[in-house]
Amino acid sequence: MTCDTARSQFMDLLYNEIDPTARQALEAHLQTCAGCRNELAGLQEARALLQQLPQAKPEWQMVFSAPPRRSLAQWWRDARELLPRPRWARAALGLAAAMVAFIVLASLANLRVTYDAGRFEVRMHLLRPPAPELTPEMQQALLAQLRSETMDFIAQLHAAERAEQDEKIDRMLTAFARDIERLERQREADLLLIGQELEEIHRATNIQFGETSQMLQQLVRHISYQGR
Amino acid sequence: MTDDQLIEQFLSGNLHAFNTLVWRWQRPIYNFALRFLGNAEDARDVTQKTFIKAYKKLGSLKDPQKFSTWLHQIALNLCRDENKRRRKHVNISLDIDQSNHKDRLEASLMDDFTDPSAEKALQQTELQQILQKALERIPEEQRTVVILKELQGMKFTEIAELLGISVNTAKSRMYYGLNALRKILNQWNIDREAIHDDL
Repeated sequence: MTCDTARSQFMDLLYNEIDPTARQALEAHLQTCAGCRNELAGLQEARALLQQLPQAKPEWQMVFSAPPRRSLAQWWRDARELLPRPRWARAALGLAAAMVAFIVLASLANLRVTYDAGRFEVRMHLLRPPAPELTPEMQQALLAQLRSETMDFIAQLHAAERAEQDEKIDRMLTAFARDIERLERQREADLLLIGQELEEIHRATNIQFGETSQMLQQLVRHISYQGR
Repeated sequence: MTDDQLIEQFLSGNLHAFNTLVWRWQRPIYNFALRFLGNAEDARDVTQKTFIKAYKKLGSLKDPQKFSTWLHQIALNLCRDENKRRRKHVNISLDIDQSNHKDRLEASLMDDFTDPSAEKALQQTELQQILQKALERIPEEQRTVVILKELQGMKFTEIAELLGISVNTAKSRMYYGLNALRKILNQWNIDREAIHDDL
């Protein structure tokens, strides 16, 4: 056993968490190694010193208890604590609260106050008032109004649809014109390219013809010279 | 009644069961905090906070059989928070004070051991204070393991689980912690014989 292995088992030995076989091997090493023996003795001494620290006993005891139930009177007392101290502030707060309560209640009860030619009327009902009975004239007028509104609505819808279609056609025509213009430009470019190519071919042919003619002249000269 | 039975009863609405757990674990948690922080008032605060947190979060404990480990984890986190708070609030002057304190302590110890009449006056409480001071001087991670092992009597496997480290790391921290303590106490000329002579 090496000293490093022995040291790695010191804690197991010190706290009696070592298995018997490992203990035997470690004890055999300790008998032969004074360094490890001394180190273990030092650790045992530190441990013995630590054991001098007593287990302190707290002088208090924690106890958890369920929170007490609050009575209505307690709630009221707590709520009163939240109110402002000066009387005028309390009065103002009370007035504001009363107004808010009145508005809420009035809204809920559909309160309606009317004044017509010296006649003051207050009406209040929890449900919405029933619709008044319609006379045949009123029915006709209402029907005519409804019809007119419907016709207007259809006309508006139709106009909107037509405008949308016109816009769509305009967009298509613009795109079409753009495409034609692009194709035209492309055609012009192609024709220009073809012209250039033809010119190049023509020039090359001329050169070739020139060369051929030159060669023929030289040949004719050569033949006539030999004939002479 | 076991801890897990008490937890079950508490979760069913029996507050008395939780008070029994408090009564059972208050002392170990207080001692852990006391040795970690070295101050009785802070240890009391941490103990109280630990149980208040446990009261609120006990429902989230997945394995009631690991209540002790869980409770120590809460206490350890609170102790670490307390240490951080101290470091934040205590300025450099305190470090100077501490180093002065060390010098004074060492000087006083040297005087005590050189003067035979004073040597006898060294009382058990003073020795405990010295041991506590020595404990506070070793690195926090080693101190935690030393306290949990030596003073709380936990097994290395429990310590490893509590700290989220391997068993070998726990053993290694214990080894280095004990060695560091031995060296500090040797510097102050404190050994087992000295203590036994005094006691």
